[in-house]
Amino acid sequence: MSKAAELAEFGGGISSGPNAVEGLAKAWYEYTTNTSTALTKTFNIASATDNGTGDTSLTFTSNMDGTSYAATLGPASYNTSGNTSYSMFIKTDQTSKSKTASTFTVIYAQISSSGFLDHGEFMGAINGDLA
Amino acid sequence: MASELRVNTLKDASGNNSIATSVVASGSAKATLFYNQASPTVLDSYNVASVTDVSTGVFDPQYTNNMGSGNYSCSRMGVAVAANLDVVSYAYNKAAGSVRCYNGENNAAIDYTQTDVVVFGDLA
Repeated sequence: MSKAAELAEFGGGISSGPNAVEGLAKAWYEYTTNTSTALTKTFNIASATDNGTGDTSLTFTSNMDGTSYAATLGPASYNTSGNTSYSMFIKTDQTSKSKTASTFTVIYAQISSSGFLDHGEFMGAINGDLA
Repeated sequence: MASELRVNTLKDASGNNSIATSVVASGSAKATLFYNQASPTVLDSYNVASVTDVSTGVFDPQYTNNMGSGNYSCSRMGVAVAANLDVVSYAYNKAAGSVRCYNGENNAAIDYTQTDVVVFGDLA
């Protein structure tokens, strides 16, 4: 078995140590809730659960090692005219997080009315450590 | 001549940090962009051949190597000009060769001096 502390492109143009593993996305997703909730393109996301309007839980195929991981989002606008009064975020509350090793919940909301909304396209990625 | 490694799992020299090569392939960002639209100037990028400055707050990164389709994940960020609460950076009109990006504050498009695009998905 060979073990390498560094990976290098032929010619030495690009090199990468073990920390490159930490930097890889462990999951990413594109899904819709427009007429029904459906995954359209994913990596390491097994399923999407419709919890209600604008409220969707995503479940990993291979779990994370705990609840401390980064979730970045590709926020959506209500339309393409530049409306900014909408927000996409990971569900949590002021004192605890709702993320688990196996699932997390994405919320899409109208800021002015606090109402949740469905949308044609949600995107995001997860960085952290797999179990 | 460049060599080709065919392995299922990568580990570091200590035998730790095991990772499947499938995670390396699927989990690697396929394009990144750090962009100043006010200049406009590409500050840093990966797999972005050029950026089309469409209009105030709207720009299209053009990929060097295209994505497999318009179905992929695109995360966005922008550094707001002021401490406005009504701020958004998002992507839409995704295509295999480009993606349209928008930055806005208080319901108005704005050119940010620092804005980010990260793309995950499958290359063509």
